[in-house]
Amino acid sequence: MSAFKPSADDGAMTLAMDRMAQSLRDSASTQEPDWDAMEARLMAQVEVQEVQERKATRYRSMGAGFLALAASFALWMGHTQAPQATSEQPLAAAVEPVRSRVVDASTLAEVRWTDEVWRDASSLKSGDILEPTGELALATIGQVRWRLSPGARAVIVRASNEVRPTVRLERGSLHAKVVPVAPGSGIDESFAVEVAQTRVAVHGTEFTVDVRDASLLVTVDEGVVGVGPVGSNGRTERALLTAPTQAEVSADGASTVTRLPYGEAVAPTPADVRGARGLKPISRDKEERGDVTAPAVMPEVAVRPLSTQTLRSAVEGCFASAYSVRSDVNLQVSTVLDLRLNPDGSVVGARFSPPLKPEFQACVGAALERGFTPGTPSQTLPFSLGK
Amino acid sequence: MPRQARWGGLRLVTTDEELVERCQKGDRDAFRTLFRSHRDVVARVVFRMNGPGADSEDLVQEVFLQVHRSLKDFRGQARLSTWLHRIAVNVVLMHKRAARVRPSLTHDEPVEIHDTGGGPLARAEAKQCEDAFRRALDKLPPKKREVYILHELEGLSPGDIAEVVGAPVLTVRTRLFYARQELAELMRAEPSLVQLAAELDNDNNVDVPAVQPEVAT
Repeated sequence: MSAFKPSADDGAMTLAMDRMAQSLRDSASTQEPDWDAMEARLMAQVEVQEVQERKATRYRSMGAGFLALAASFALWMGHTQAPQATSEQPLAAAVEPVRSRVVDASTLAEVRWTDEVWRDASSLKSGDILEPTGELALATIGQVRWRLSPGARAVIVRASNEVRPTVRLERGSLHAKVVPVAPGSGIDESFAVEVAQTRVAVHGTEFTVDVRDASLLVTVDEGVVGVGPVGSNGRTERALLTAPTQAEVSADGASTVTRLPYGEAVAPTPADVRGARGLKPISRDKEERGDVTAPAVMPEVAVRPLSTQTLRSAVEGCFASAYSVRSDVNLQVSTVLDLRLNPDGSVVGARFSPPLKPEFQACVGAALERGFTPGTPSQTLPFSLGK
Repeated sequence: MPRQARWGGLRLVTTDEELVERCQKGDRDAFRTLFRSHRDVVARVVFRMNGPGADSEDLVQEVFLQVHRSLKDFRGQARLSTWLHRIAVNVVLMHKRAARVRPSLTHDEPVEIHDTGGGPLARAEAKQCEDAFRRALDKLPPKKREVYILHELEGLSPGDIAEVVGAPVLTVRTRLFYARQELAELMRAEPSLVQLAAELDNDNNVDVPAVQPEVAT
C-alpha cells in the first residue's frame, strides 16, 4: 500500500487556494455597514430616480406630433418656451426624502471658527433637510464651512462623520470652503454637492454651486473640483474644473460642461433664488494660509513657453506632489499624454490615458497654461512615472 | 421565501413574489422591506468580490438602485435571490472594469513570516495574502471569475449558478474547472501566496508522511 501524495506544486497551490477562499468567506461575514445611513441614501436616490422616470414618461407620451404642434404654436406666438416642468419648479424640488426631517437651524449648536459664529453641521444626519429663510452658515470643525442662500433647500445625503460627506442641493446656492486634506491621507473626496444626477466633488477648495433650470452653475474660486454623475463616488472626474473658473454643468450627470468667464455675472434663471455672488465669501483660516493645495508648477515663468523637456519636468513634479506614498512602497505608473495644440502653441486639449488622480491632472493642467512655442505640433507623449 | 413582520398585533407574512409585485406598483415601503430582507446577502457578495471599504458600501447601494430600476422587468423567471446575485455580480464586475484603468499601489517585496500566532503581524500577513488572492482573482477572465466566486465563495450549486449567469450547467462546470486551474497559475505570481502554499505543503508533509521507504533486511 502506498500513501497518495499529490505533486508538491499543484497540491500545495490547491490547498492555498482553498485556504484563501475560506479566509474570504470568513472575512466577509464580519463586515457590518451602517445600514440606516445606507437606507436613507438609497431611498433618497430612489425618489430622484422615480421623479426623473415620471418626467421622461410624460415627455415620451407627448409624441412627436404634439411637439411639432407645440413648436409651430410657439413660433406663431413669436417666442419659444422651455418645457413647463423645468421652468415651473426647481430641480428635484418635488422630491421629499423618506426620512424627511426639516431641521430648525436655530436649534443647531453654535461653534466659532475664524472669529465667526457658525451653526454646527456635525450633528446633522443623513436625510436631514435644511430650508433656511435667511442665509445659513454651517461648519464642521476641521472639515468644511458652507453657506446656504435664503430660500435654498438642501438634503444631507451623507453626514459629516461618514465617508465622503455629501449634500444634495435642490434649489438655491451653496458656497463652501473645504479644508484641504493631506496628500496620501486616503481621503479622496472630502465634500460633495449633488444636484439632480450631477455630482460636484472636491478635495480642498472654495467653490459655489447654484441650481438652475436643467443645469448647475459651478464657480471655483480656489483649488480643483471634479464633476460627474451621481454614484461616481470617489471618482468624480468626468470634467475637472481648476480655479479660477466658472462653468455651467448639465444636471443629467454632467454630460455637458460649458466654461464661462470667471467672475462675470450670469443671468439668473427662474429657478435661482439668489445668485452665488450674493453669498458672503468665507475667510481663510490663519493656519490655512498657504496650505491650500496649489499646483506644483505655478506659472512663475509664465512668459516662457513650455518645451517637451520642461513639460516632462513639470509632470514629474506634479506626480511627486500628488502621489505621496510611504517610502517602502514602490509606485510605478505608465500613462500617455495626448496633447492637441493650436498653431500659436496654446493648448486646445490634453488627455491622460489612463487618467490619473485629479490633483495630478489639475497640476499638469496649470502647467500647460503656459503653452508651447508657436508652431509646435500636437503630440502624444508616453510617461513612465515612479517613486 | 416568506418574510414575517409585526404590525400592531397582526402578524404579516410576505413572500418575495408579493414584495416584488408591490414594488412594481411603486410601493416604497415594499422596496424598503426588500432592501432590508436581502441587504445581507448582497453585501456578502459585494464584500467577497470587492473587499471591505467605502467603495463596497457604495456598490451595495448601487446594486439596490439597479434593482429598483429593473424591478419592473422582473417577471419571476428566476428566484429573486438568484436575480439579486446576478445584479450584484454584474455591478462589481463593472466597477472593477472601470477601476482597471486607474493606477494602484503594489508591494513588491515578498512576505517574511515570523509569527504564526494570532497577533497583529499574523493578521497583517493574512491581510496581505487576502489582497494577493483578490488580485489573482481579478485577473481571471470575467466569466470564470464569476462562476468561481459564486461557487467557492457564495456556495451556490452549479445549477443555481447556471440560472444566475444564464448558461447551461455543463458550461458552468467547465468554467469552474478552468477557473481553478488558471487561478492556481495566477497565484504563483504572488509571493505571499507561494509562501503560503509552501508552508501548507510542509505542514501536509509533517501530518501525512510521504511513502515510507521499505527497509530491506
